[in-house]
Amino acid sequence: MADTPHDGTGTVLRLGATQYTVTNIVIQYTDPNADAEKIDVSHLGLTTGASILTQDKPLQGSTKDTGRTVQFDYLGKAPIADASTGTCSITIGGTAIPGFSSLPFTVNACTLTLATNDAIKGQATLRVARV
Amino acid sequence: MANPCTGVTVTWGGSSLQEVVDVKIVAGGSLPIGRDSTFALDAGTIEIACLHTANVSLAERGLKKTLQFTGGGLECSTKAVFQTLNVAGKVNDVARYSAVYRIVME
Repeated sequence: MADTPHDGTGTVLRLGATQYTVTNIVIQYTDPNADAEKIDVSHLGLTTGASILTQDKPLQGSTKDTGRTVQFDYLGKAPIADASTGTCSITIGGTAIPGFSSLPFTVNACTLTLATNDAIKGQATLRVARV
Repeated sequence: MANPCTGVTVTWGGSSLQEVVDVKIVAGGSLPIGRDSTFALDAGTIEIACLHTANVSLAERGLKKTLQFTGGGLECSTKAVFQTLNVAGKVNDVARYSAVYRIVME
């Protein structure tokens, strides 16, 4: 069978020493300095083909906001305490995703869902450091 | 083909308005009255929003000058009176100025 480099099987997520049985992981990188985060000051005087003009916002974002989050779904009955901190590792087939080896994190949010005739499922969102 | 609204210059009494971002021209606010087929009580208004204060200030209020638009499909020149100035400030944004001019038929 052909190797499928984008296959996510064998993915392991650990928070500290605790390994979670995860069913879904979403890693989001957002550049706080991206143009989309700036003020559009383009005006009618610009000529066709000119670049959109942007200007930095006068206020800076919260220093806590790194622009990087990891959201994952897991099976288990233990909620992950909000605001808890530690290090996060995500590996695929034993190899860490670049930048995700012992990455400092803070838990933004965690939900635990208990439903009839279903496994107990949790979902957590981590704010991870820019390293 | 539609006109891209770019390369627009706006002058008020010959002086440029800077960083104009929005223009709304409503020509004709009421029907002509009397024997004169062109005279009307309300000739219409022009609203200009910009990000720069050059020539857009309360000092201009009540003055009658020529308001001229060129480029971007906005070829227009008319006498107008600077009627109102609206300044909007918002957190983490730039100040935005909006001026309303009353068109004068002469």
